[in-house]
Amino acid sequence: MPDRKQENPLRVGLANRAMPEPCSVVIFGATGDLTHRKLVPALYNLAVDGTLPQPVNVVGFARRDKDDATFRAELGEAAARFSRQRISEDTWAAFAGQIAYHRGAFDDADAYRSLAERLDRLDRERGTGGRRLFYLAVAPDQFPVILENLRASGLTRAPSGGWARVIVEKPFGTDLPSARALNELVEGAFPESETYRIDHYLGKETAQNIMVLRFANAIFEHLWNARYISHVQITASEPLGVEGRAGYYEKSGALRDMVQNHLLQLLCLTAMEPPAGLDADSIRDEKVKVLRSLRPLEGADVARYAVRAQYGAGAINGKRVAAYRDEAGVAPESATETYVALQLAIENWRWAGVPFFLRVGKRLPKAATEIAVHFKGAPPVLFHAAGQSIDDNVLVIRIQPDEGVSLRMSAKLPGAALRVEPVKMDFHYGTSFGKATPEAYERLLLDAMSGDATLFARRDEVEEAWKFIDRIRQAWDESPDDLAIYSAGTWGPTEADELIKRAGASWRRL
Amino acid sequence: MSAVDPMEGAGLPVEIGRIDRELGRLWEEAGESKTRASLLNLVLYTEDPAAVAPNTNLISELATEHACRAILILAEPAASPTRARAWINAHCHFAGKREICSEQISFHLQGEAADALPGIVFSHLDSDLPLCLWWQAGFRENVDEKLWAWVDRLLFDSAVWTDPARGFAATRAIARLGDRRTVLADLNWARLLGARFALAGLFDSPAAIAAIPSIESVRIGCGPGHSTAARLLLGWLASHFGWKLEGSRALRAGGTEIRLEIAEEAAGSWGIVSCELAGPGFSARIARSPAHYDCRLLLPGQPAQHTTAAAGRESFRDLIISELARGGRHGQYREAAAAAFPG
Repeated sequence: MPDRKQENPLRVGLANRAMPEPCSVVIFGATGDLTHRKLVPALYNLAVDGTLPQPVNVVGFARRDKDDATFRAELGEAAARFSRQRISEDTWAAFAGQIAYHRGAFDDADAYRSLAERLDRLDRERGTGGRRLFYLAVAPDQFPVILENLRASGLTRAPSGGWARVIVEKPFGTDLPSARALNELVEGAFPESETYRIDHYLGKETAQNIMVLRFANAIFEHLWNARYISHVQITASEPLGVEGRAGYYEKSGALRDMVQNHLLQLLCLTAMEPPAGLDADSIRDEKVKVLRSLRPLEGADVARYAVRAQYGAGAINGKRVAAYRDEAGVAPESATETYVALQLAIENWRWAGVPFFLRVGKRLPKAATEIAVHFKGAPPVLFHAAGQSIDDNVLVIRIQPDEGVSLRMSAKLPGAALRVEPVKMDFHYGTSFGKATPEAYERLLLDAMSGDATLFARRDEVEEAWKFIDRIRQAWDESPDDLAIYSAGTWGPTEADELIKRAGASWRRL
Repeated sequence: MSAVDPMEGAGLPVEIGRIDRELGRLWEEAGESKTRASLLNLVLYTEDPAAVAPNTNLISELATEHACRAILILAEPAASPTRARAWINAHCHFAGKREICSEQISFHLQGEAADALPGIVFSHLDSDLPLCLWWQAGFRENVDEKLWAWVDRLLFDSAVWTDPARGFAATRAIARLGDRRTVLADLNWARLLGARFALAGLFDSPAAIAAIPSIESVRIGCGPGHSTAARLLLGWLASHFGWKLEGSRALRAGGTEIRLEIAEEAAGSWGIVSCELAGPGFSARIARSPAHYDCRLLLPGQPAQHTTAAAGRESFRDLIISELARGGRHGQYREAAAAAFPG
């Protein structure tokens, strides 16, 4: 009897990371947008790069009636459109040969039983050894029925030598109670160690680079505290409106859609202490400590430290755009926020007294996600004494687009006079490392197949984030009249400018 | 009819002592419309005059992926009279709205000027950036320690060596010099990546892993002139399976023998045309087609498995781009080369 845990010796040292074992990837919501735009192109790119284990069975599970060939053809068109690498007919044909379609309604117990039989058969025929990754690429309201049926059909129990994992797409609930309920539900089907909550921001190269920048460069970590840093700004802006997602966005709003997950994750990576190791739990332990150290925003503090707003009509790139309330599917009296600005305090030794400003918005002038660390100014002597205004140093980590890092510093303007001007040292990923950066989903899918949860959110992270967000949400729900309006194409409401001005700072001009 | 200058197209001729000043002027004239970028020093050394133009074109392509200071050196030690000349050039491409540029400095060193190679390289490096040297000539008996000890990554192509044993010994000696220990990046090895992935893919299942001890023979078909690549592939298999190569056979730790065969096949110009590992009722075989490897696995009592795997990169451009993007020390290469070409 072969040792099933034995490693393939030829894989040793072949790639920079451990190659996952052959497995089956079952995608619920196989005919949906996420599967077509992200998941299948990501799997194909992994196959092209030779980092996808062989064999991999990709089984799409959805309601619509179609056969394997039709499903493959549809995915082929999607891959040709959305893959970052050109489609080679041969490679696609070989990859597509591993794709199958399993028709079934999410609430049809028989469909799960036949899925189990199909996966068993594939394990026997193709040596995938009972290793199964279930990807819930569906709306959250479908999670319960799928998880319950997976559990009832026995698919959540890994066969001997195999494993059964689940990837859950955000949002992980809509508030703390629903997140807890969802987590209970997931936990009833899969243990926490086999649960992978995706936040695709964490799969981005620059987000992963935050830890490298902080902990592999000795010059920064010594300055990374309240003694040298005046404040931190984290921004996620986009010119897009709701783009056909009004149904979802009306219930969610910017606070739940962006702040609870992406922005708080970036905050954690920026503010956390050095982890004990690079393993998933060491890193996630430190992130949770940051969330627990956040001073809660509640009651009157919400009005003082949080701004919410909604875009009115305006212009983006010279083109007129409608107000949020005039978008299709949005209620005419909607109070959903499309913009949020927050001033947060982290109550620990490192960050005491350092405000963290978060802002996120739709229909802002440009797309940009970045973390800007503003350092305290030089002592007010010498050049300041000569009456010159000298800008503080700012370290900017650009997450998207134009990923990179820049440092603003002061330099003497050439000439006989002593004039000091800000200059920028700039590092661009695109310039330095070329263009072929893998998509976040490629990294995340590979990690889930390999059992590496470092870039996935743990249950306590998610719940701590909701605990913090719910207090703000509750205060807003109790005072529905304080929703500000900003014109589309501007950088948000004046209330947000005033929020940061009270702390003696101003929003970065992006 | 006058002979064509091999350095034609190398850029603006400059005095060697004024290279930095002229480069500075080049960027001044470009104003703010161009951004100079550099992440590494890429030095290309050739003794073939016909290689200058293709190398310049290649640098232009490489610079779009790896911003660098490129130094191209044509050395003709046997030429007369002794003479050293230099040229500067810039390769620019658009990254979004920005025009990104890499510099190229070219040298033509004739006669005794070729001995000035280390000084030429040292005095024109972008400081603090890694030095990658692509050595396109044969390795001499006595290595120049002053030069080699500075090299972070030495690129070469063992496929063109007429005496592989000597070449591997020379590169091993270079890798032992200096404190940092130079990383050896053999393009012949890099070309094997597709074949290695394809073969590895056949041994992912526990049943295939269990069949490894039953392998009785290995046959590698290679393109004409690619026997060094085939031998390196054998070395890789041997180092991972715990075999010791002895001529046309390999020995397992227990002393059992595996038959080895390397045969040149005219089926294509690829390095590795096919590779089959076989035992009783077991066969793992990859066979090359223009775009991919056709991979077939036969295990006792199991249905045949058929997949394809990407052929991998083969052009100089792709290989160098991939090598420059790669960190790490190529530990697998060292082991494979040591198994295939001991000494």
